[in-house]
Amino acid sequence: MALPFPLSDLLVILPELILSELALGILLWAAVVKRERERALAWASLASLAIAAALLPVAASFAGELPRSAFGGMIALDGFSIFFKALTLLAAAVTILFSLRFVGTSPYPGGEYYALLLLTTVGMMFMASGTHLVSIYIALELMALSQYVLAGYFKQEAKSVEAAAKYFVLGAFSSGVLLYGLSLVYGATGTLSLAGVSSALEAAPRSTLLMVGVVLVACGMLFKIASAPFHVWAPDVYEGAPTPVSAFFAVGPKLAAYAIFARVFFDGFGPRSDDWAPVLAASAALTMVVGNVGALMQTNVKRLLGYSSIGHAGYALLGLLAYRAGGAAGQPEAFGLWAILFYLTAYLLMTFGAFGLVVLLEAKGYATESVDDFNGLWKRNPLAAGAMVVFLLSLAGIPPTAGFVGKYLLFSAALKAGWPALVVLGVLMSAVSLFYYFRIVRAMYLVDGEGEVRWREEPAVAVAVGLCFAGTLAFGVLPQPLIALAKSCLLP
Amino acid sequence: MPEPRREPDPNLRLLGDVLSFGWVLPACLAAGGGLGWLVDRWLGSFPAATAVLGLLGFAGGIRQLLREADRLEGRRKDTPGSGPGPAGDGT
Repeated sequence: MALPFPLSDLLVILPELILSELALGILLWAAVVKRERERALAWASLASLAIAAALLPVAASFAGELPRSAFGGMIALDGFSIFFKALTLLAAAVTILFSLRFVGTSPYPGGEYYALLLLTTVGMMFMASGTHLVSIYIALELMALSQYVLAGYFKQEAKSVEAAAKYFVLGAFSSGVLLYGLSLVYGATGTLSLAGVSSALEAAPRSTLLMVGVVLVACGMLFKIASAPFHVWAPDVYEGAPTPVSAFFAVGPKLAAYAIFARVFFDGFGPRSDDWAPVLAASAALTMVVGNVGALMQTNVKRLLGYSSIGHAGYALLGLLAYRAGGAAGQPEAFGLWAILFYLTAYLLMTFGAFGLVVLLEAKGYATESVDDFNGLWKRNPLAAGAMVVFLLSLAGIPPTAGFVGKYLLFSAALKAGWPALVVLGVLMSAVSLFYYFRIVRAMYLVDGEGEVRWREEPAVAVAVGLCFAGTLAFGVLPQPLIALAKSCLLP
Repeated sequence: MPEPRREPDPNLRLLGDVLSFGWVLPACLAAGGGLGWLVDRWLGSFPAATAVLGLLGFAGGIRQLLREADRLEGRRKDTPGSGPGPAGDGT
């Protein structure tokens, strides 16, 4: 029987295929490995991610000229997807480094944990290259289903189970909204391929059916990036999930969600940007306010970083709104898009750095939870305290850090695209954010420490945090290489 | 008889403080960097004075922020509804 696609199409998804096989292999291995040797599973998972990363350029070279479409237009391989795949692989690798001892010393088996982490990464990689609404939806569900289980992985802890239940119920609801939107879009255009939808929108007259469909799709996707008013799950899930998983949720799924957001709304719904841009703008404004004001009263560090990540989702939405800004001398088109690529890379580095230090601080045998647990850290570990200051300054957007350059690019793009009010709001909210970030700095430097919080000696986490620290400063001082890379990885 | 002076809403006062808090560091940075730039222009030594005074402005800004954060944290703890959040169970 002939295959409905040429065999060479399989080469386009070679990294995903191999990573899926390796994840299943780890799952099988976990069934027979002894508890005390589970650390080997973590290293095998890291090796799997490294293999998948090494296969990215191989797949690109086999694919020939980029962009390369495969499986009848369901999947595409281009610079944009490769950039996001590399970032998601990096996010998963850092999460495994954070989890090595965290999961190893917990009473829960680690095998399924690492397999689920790899499978959710496969989902994110497929999301980055989806060019058909069905392939995008299936990839999104592969990512989300693994995440629901990961959120509740510490199944004897009430908060972990509560987090998983909330995430599952709200996630299922948002999937339903997204599917309903997709069905309306299909009803209005007669196709689900992004190129087909785009052509149909250019030819079709304005219709309520289509507008409702587009808005529902937007709502489904805004949930995935924890953008207001669909953000309520994020602080609870980040607080309840195991800390390395919270770090992963704050970064990985958002990267993939921004990838599909950009592709669906610009490759697919681009011709109707006048209809959806106000919805996105309202959500961006609300997200920046809710995230930053919500963080002000938090005393739990994971919740605080959860609210902070909501605020950051709002900043990144500015880049989507300004996607087509540019055209001035020296500015290529899609200024907003490469600004997002830069910002998301910076966001990955600074968020993982901050969460890594939360993992390293141990209170009552677990990762720390309260801002007070940082009291006096400066005296106990001045290097860690200094690194935390850099990550927090970067999150607030203070120079000379990558977070500052990222915000500067996003705000410039939004100004160029004609959204000055949103830029003013973004700057104001950045000023507000400095207050809650400085509550942690104050605890580290001005308050005496208490005895029950101790510092974990974990070389793997320390290395990951060190790399994040170096990247946060390096891209703040010398942003040009990353900007050049982002400019070369735009949507075709 | 004059009416007793009404205390402003503590939440609004905190929001005002928080909004002004954010400008301390950029203002110190701009003051230091700007002064350095003027000195550099005068002496033709760019970027030496800009870098040195900019760094001094940054350090001064951080110090001022820490002092402000300490003061505001005390006020935040006195604000109704700002008690400790839900206790974590160690995940």
